[in-house]
Amino acid sequence: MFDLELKDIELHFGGLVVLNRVSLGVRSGELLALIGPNGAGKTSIFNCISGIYRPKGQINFLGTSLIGKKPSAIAELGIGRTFQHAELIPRMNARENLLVARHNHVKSTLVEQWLRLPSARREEADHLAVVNDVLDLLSLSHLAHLPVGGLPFGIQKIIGFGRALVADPKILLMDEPSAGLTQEEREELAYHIDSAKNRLGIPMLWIEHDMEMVSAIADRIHVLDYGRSIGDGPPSEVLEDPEVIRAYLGTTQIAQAVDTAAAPLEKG
Amino acid sequence: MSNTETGIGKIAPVRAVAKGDGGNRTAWMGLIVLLALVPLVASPFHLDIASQIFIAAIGALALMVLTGIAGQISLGHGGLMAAGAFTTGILYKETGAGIWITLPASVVAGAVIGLIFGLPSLRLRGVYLAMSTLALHFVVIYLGGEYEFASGASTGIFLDPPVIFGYELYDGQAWYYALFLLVAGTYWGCSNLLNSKTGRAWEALHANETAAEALGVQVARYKLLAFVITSGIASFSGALFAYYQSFVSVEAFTLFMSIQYIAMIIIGGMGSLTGALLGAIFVTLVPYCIEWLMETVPYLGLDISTASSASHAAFGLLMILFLVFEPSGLIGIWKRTVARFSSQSKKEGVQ
Repeated sequence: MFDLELKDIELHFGGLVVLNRVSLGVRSGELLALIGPNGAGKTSIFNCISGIYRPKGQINFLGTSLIGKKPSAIAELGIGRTFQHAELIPRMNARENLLVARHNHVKSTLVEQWLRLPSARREEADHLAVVNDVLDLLSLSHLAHLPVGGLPFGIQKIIGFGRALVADPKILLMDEPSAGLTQEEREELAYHIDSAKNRLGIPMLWIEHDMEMVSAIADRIHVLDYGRSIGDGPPSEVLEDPEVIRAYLGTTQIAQAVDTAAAPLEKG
Repeated sequence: MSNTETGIGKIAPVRAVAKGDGGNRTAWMGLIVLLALVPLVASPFHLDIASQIFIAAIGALALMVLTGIAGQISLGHGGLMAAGAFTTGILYKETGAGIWITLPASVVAGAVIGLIFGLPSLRLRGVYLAMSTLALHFVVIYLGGEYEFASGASTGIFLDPPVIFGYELYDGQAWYYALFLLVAGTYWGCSNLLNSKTGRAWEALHANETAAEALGVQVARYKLLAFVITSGIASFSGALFAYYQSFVSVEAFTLFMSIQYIAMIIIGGMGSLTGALLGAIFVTLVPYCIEWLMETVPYLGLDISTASSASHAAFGLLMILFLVFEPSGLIGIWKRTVARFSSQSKKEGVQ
């Protein structure tokens, strides 16, 4: 019943246990938020799914095991992802960056591309139309011709989100898409995530620190702490759980308290 | 298709791009017509320099794609050109094969060598990769030297002018036009590749291999493809060099040649095919400019014996100057100049 299911995932870096028997699943059309303090292993889970790390355990996506597959082969199965630091190609503009993500949809051969035969040209125009649709959807069209290296980080993150969308993913993994965004950009992003979910009906796995956003649009929350799962359920339930509050929300509240206490000192 | 109305709206930015290309196209056409008229007025000496530039340009385009686009550093470029030159030379000497056999054979030989010497790129990066490609240079030069020795052609292999459609490619004008067409074709082919899935995959793996893989780019495959294609082109330009000089010898393919090609792409501007052309012009002209300086400024204390070391030093200096002060190269200077003039003319238009 899960589109993507992880069972008993274990990951070690030398003696360090990064993930300790983590199991989770996402259904189609479901937005699952993955939360937890820094170093809890959230991005490691993404890297296990996309084949960058080689964990022990099982990862199945629509009946196919992802264990032992190369990252490019996993991407070809329709697993799209965004990165914490956007990881765009700085020299290319937004349109070209999005075109890169159409890689697996391009059918023309090397010779067709080299000689720019009509078949290759037609296909290129089709992909460009898909890219322009997504740019329009995200209100990025007016920036599409600029090299992305010079754009603000928040815009780069939204382009990164668009790059994941443009690949027609069957599942979307989003790694802290809101980090580095302004409040206004966050609200816009929340809208885009929600509407993409409704429009595409695909499962989405979402690493997020902004609890306001999470409780507003996530269908379910999975909580990690020191590589262990410590909670899974609807936002209203999970965010009330005392263990979750202690492990995650408590520490941020303490951190906030420390920040406010330190602020006058820094100014002085 | 799902929404015709928005579909029409979406054509606008596409067209804007196409229009920009159109403007460029007029400029390119003008340049091509101008270059086609050059042989009518140029002296044999100038035609010779132009032909050298054309051969260098083909090699520089190849290295630009490999290093400037796909991000794979190579010090083996001179070795690849030697491979092409020797494939052509040996085939001609041993079998008397014509240009329709020797040139494709040189491309294939270069591609195969490129595949072999691309393999370390799957494990090595940056300086370490450069060192492994350096081995390519010495292996090819060693094999070429062994052949020269074994065949008794210790001074090199002589080639007769190639025959195309019954016409002997001999005089400067004919060479100028032939090489000009080949540069244009190479540029066109490379530019097509860069504006396709393949070129974008190269850019992606250059920027970040892990992210490229996660986007579905088979990094290993596309790295090797870059080595194979660009090595084939480099070898092709080596074969042309052999025919143009009517002579193949290991002495022509020094390590300095590889460094000159790296200088071309740095000075021209990393990541730009037009930059590769500008770099080829610039680097080919440097020794001639130094010679000219020697003749016109007698008190510089330069003579023939110091000319080559002077040009070596000039390359070193120029590369450092460009790396420090103009990392985007000649193409960067060109783009800034164009931008300045177009903004100026816009202002004047408003006034």
